[in-house]
Formats: sequence, structure tokens, C-alpha cells
Amino acid sequence: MVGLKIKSMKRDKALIKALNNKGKDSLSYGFEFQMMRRILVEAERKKKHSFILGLSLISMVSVGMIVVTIYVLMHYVSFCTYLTLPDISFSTETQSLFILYCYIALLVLVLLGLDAYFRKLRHKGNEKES
Amino acid sequence: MRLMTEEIGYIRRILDGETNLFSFFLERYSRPIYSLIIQIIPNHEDAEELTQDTFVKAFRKLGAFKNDCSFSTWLYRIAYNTAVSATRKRKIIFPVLDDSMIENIPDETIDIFFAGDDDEEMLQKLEQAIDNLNPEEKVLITLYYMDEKPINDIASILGLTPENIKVKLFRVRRKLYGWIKNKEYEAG
Repeated sequence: MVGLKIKSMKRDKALIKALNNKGKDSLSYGFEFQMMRRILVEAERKKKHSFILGLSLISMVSVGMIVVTIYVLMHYVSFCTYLTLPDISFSTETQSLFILYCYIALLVLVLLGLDAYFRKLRHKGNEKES
Repeated sequence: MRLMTEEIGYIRRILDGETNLFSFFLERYSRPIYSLIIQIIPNHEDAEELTQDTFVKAFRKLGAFKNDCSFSTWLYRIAYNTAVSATRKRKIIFPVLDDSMIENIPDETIDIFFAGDDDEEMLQKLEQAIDNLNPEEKVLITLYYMDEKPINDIASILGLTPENIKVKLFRVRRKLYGWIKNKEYEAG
């Protein structure tokens, strides 16, 4: 009975026409373009959010692992820092070596930074082209 | 079914970082979603803003989309909830019609009344009567008559059972008839 009534309701021409009349307004010109820009901003925000979340998780896990390691070393392995770590003394010779190592490390960091920067630039260029 | 598979493919690629593919959904659904929202919020600017909000929400929750329904049903559900929240925030009050007024109207009278679409005056009255309906009822008739959605999909969008939807559709027609006749009676 209900099924038959539902079928007959599809013939409600007056309702269909009234609803069409009411919904005559349409979206502004360029709506989809504006919307896509908003979506891209949202995607960037989402990416940053997940990066920060990932970083926080890694940091928390790392800190946790360090704490557990220290706890285990102190309480179960009877680890003593005084006995295990040798005294570090800086002579002029080791000082110059230390500076050299620092210089190399800095250079590696700068080169890695530049690599990341140029990769990002190229990625952006590719995105614009596509 | 083919459409659903195609859409799921797009969703996976968007989630993998191909954000530009979201334009596929914008092109396909921005107009029908706007048409649905404008029935609930009859103001162009507000309806357009809510359409934007719907798509942003859909993008944010895209990862949570399960294949238990079609993407369009899921999107319509977001649009409906967004528009209903907006009516609550704006504290829009919808008039209530006394049930006893519409209970005794024969079905045939209502069928005949809605079958014709030539009387412009009657159509205007009908448009005004539609404004009196609550958001759920407006969405119900928009999805059923304009978008020609199956009853099961409408039930999924509104979070009701198919039987409930059918009963509500009957009642909405009666209500609309009641509003028009009531207004004619008041006008003398």
C-alpha cells in the first residue's frame, strides 16, 4: 500500500516545480576555483598538523626510551658513570681536531639544508606546471 | 556501482597526497549540495558559505569515509548536518501546524492537488508553504523530488529508517496542503 502511494507521489508535478523555482539561485562565478584554493590551504594545514603530531610522537617515544634506558642502567645493571666514562681533557692538538670536525659537520648540515631547499623548489615548480 | 568504484579510487589518491583531484568532487557535487542547502537556508551568501563549509569538512574527514554508503550520501549527510547546525545557531523558528487539521483529508484530494503545475498562484502559495517546513522536511522533499534519490539513500542521509521516510513524506504533503488551505481560509 505504502509502496503504491510512494509511486503515485512521484507524479506530484506541482511540488517538483515549486522546489525548482525556489532553488533557481546558482553558485557564484569561480566558486569551484575559490573552493579549490581553500582545499589546498586546508591540505597544507593538514600536512603541517600531521608533521607536528608525528614529531611530537617521536619525541615522546624517544624521551620515554631514554628514561627507561637510564632507569634500567641505574637500577638493574648497576651502571656507574664515574667508573665507565673516562675523563675528557682538551689539549691544543685535540682542540684543533675538534674544530675541524665541527667545521665538517657544519658543512654537511649546510649542504643537506641546501639539498632539501632545492628539492622543495623543484617540487613546487613541478606542481605549478601540472 | 562503477561510479562508486571510481569515486573510491579518487578518494584514495587524494588521501595519498593528490589534493588537486578534489576538484572532481567539487565539479560533480557543488551544485546539488548548494541546491539542498538553499532550501534550508534561503539566503544566497549564507548557503554558499555553508556549501564551502560542507566541502572543507568533507575534505578534513575524508580519511574517515567508510564504504558502507556512497560518497554522495556521505556528503549530503554532512551538508544536512551543517545546514541544520546553522539554523540552530541563527535560532530560526519554524511554525507548527495543528495535526488535527490534516488528519481527515482524503489521499485522493491531495494527489489531485499536487498533480497539476499550471496554476502560478497555487505554485507561489506552495513555495511559501515549503518555507514553513522544518529543515528535515525540506531536505526530505528536496532529495525525493528534485534529486530523485532512492528512499534508502534518503534514510541513510537523515539517519532514519526507510519506513519512517515514507511516512514522513506522506505527512509533509498533507502539511503543505494544510498550510495552503489554512492560508486561503484566513484570507477569507
